[in-house]
Amino acid sequence: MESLLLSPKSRNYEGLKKALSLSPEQILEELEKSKLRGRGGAGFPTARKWSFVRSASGSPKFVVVNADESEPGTFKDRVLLTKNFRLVLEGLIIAGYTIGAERGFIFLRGEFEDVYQHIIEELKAAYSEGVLGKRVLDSKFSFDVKIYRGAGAYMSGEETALLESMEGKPAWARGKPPYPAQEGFLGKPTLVNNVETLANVPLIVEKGGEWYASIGSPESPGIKLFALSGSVNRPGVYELPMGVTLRELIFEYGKGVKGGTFFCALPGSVSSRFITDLDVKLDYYHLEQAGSMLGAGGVIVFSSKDDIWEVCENILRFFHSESCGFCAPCRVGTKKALDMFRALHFGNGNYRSDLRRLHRVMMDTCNCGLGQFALCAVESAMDKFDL
Amino acid sequence: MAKKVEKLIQNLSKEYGRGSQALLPILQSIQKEKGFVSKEDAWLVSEELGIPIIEIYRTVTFYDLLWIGKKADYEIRVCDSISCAVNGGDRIYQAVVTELGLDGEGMSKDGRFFVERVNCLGRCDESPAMMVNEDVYTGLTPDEARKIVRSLKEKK
Repeated sequence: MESLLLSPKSRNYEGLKKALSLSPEQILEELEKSKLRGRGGAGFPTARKWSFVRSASGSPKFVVVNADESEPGTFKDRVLLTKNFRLVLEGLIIAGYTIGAERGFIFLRGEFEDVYQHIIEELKAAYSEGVLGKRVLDSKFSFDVKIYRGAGAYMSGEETALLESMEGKPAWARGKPPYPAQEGFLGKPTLVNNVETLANVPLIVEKGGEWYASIGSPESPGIKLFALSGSVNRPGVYELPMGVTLRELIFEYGKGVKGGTFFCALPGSVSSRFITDLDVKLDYYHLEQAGSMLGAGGVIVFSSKDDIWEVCENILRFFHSESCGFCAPCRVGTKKALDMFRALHFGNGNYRSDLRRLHRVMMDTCNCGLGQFALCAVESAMDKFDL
Repeated sequence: MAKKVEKLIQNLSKEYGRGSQALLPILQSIQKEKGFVSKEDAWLVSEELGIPIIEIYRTVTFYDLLWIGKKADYEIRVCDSISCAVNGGDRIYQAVVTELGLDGEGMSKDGRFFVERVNCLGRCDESPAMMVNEDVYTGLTPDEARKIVRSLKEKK
């Protein structure tokens, strides 16, 4: 497949130019037809999210680019921002035009100093080329962009916690409703979209929603950036149609499993469930059918030489140390899970059913996705690998 | 220094708005300037933005990349997450710790180094990875990690 997201060559703001000649309703229509879903993990239909913010009362409105990717095995946004920031910017400006916002923010992961410097340069260039600022590309629409930098918290990637970070507070997820579409940044209607989601928008506007929906799986179409890592020979970000099989991704693009034979993979990084079937199609629909999820598309591969006990413990350690402490089920639950899992590992007690019960409780009662999904990988390991 | 911090607060509150929405950018700039946020800085920010001091502390202590008071010249963060872990991340951590004569995470005896195992640095495609202050090192071998630490030790 021709690379559209990662290859910046020969683009000259075609999507943005066309968007400025269309009405916001026409743009929303194309977006609806494209069946684009949020690429940050939740997979919410993008057209719906945009129309919520567009129809919300209150002004000003804001657009925020969620560039805080921090989940282990997820690094596609870093590569996209580095290789093709302008496409993301194009999408951001189109979003502002469509929902009626004149200010956009990029919330960038704090650890990405190199990406930060790159974005600053690109924004400067965009201002001097008249793509940003007053009268974007000589239209009547004006748009400004500022950067926020994360300060080192996985939680900030959750969209309401991200808004709390921008407001100078700890990254605690807000209760919903109200959703950011009604009350977002500084209480104003706010659209929060992932980097990759926005990068798809100019292509959809330029080539049409139907074109986009014809790519990949019919049930769950589109282009996806897969971040492949773990025990593979050639890790990296691969731009592929939705529905590519795990086998193709690992063996054709990743050049095979490193240091052993294929054992299993986490298709939606550490919040997802293990899969062992190499022929599973990687998209929202088929991964859900297979009992897992696509998430943000961080595919982590494990070989027969990787110790799955250690993998699971590592994942539990991650969630325990990133738990923000706001709600008890997560604050206490992630610690309990780690303790019970270690005990189980070293033969100090059979906590299998307790771990399963804890997972249910956390699923039902945690304030946000961190706690709700923290034990997914571990539970699926107990199901599949006889731990 | 206080003058410099005051100036920085004023500039950033002009850019982001005089309120809590300027807090992270201000704290990050102070930290970048001095390597940490001092108590005096925190009070200054509190007064300039009209935010209670306790909320400034709450924010600084919540986030991993902000701290009150001097920590070390070199903050070494070795990735502990899964993609690095299956590609030898632990050996990198051991090499760094041993080179600094430490038993585990923490401050070196001379107070110049602070070592931490941290969660994913987003460099899974070039694992194993570590950061020294804002510099990222990827695709490391234990030998390379030792060399990096050694060269920092030799710096004055």
